[in-house]
Amino acid sequence: MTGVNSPYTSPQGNLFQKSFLRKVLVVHLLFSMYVGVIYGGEWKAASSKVVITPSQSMWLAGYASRDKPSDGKLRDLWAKVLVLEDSVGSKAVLITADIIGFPREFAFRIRKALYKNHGLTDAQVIFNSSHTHSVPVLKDVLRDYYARPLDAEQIQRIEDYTDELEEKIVKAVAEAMGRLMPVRIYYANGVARFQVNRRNNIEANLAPETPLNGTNDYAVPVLKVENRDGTLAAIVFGHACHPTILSGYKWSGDYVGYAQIEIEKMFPSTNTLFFQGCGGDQNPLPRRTETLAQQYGLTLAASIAATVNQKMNEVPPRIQTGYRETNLPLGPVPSRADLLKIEGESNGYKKVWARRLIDQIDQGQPLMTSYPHYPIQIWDLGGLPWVVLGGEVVIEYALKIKEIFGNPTFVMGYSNDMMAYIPSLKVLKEGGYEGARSQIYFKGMSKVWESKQEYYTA
Amino acid sequence: MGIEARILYGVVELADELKIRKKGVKATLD
Repeated sequence: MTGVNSPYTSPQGNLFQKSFLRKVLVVHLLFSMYVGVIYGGEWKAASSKVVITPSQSMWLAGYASRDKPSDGKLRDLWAKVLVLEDSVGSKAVLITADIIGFPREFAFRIRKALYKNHGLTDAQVIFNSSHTHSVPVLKDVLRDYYARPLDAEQIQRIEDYTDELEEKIVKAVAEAMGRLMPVRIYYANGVARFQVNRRNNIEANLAPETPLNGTNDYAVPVLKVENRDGTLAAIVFGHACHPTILSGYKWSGDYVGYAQIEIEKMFPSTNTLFFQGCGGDQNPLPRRTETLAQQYGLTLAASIAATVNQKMNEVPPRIQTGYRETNLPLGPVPSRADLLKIEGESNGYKKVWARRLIDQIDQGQPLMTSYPHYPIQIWDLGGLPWVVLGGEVVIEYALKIKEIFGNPTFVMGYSNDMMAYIPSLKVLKEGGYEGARSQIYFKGMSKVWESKQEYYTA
Repeated sequence: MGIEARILYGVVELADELKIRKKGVKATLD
């Protein structure tokens, strides 16, 4: 190293500086080599977000008891994207949105565009919905279960909104793809406890001192994406709980929306993405006021802040992705005579369901005896498994998957498809809403899932 | 085979294809 001595240092000082700098450079070089060998390079990432609040009044998804379209908004709805690229250029894209679900047809149309535009395969893209119940109805899911049929104008609005949403998500992915930057990625699990297993506790009887029953998963998995200058680029977090605090007629992200707002206040440089876990049988209780939605949002935000500010585990820059669809059997389907009897004896959504299936039979289309496209997806982020399931998955799946792969595992439900509730064997045998009654809300579902005895050993 | 076993088998088979390490504990359903 040569150069002009600084007028402010003695020759000895300069030699010391040179020697010190050499040591620093050697240490830096060795560390870089170590990182290069162990990690094999570096992550790149970018995120984007887009407002998806409808511009006009529409029917809200989530509660069949609603009897009119929306009336204004409390908070905006969002779709968000995180693109990851590992050290050898493999990419993975997480898409999250404040919608009731990503039905297969809807996800498929977006997948097609992402394959065409970016070469992304099914395995490389996760679609996770927050399952918020104060969001618009989409054209491929939970549309015709209201007691009062939607009129032609409202149906057209749903069609148009769904098409616009597809375009917005495709654009948001392109935007993030175009500005990947070097980052470091970390993970850890925090904790937040406000959900209650709704199968084992009666909401109306719950007081603050009431002991709670049933299984839960209180984990708050957090992925931190950090720019090379140490600022936060993005936070991905999850929780397993229905966003059903609010049930009115105004657009809202519910508690998960408030959590993201609070986190982005705490860390203004960051984009925050929420993923829904296996919250099929989990409700936030007590509920039904906006202040409670804010409270639970703050609770989650505090947990995430605590996790982000502690020592987290660095994720080596390598990613593997896998995706498959499996066939899930249904029980024996009802006959036309059975359905006519149900139609005659029922009202509301049950009558609508029976009529839909009778029409299907009359049009020569057989009733579904199984669901052939159940999606199972796994990402391996440098040794951290993400297990991603479709439908309204109950909490026992998360617990069993963590038993197999370890507690740090990120487990998502409500991803890639929205065919029905996915009960565990225990819930299926018990019946009730998640095990039996809810099936009739979903497109084509003519019977509860098959409940054969089963035994599984990992 | 019912749906729980089908889903968990599907998860484990896919994880095996990706060579994802399991904890090695026995997970028993039902």
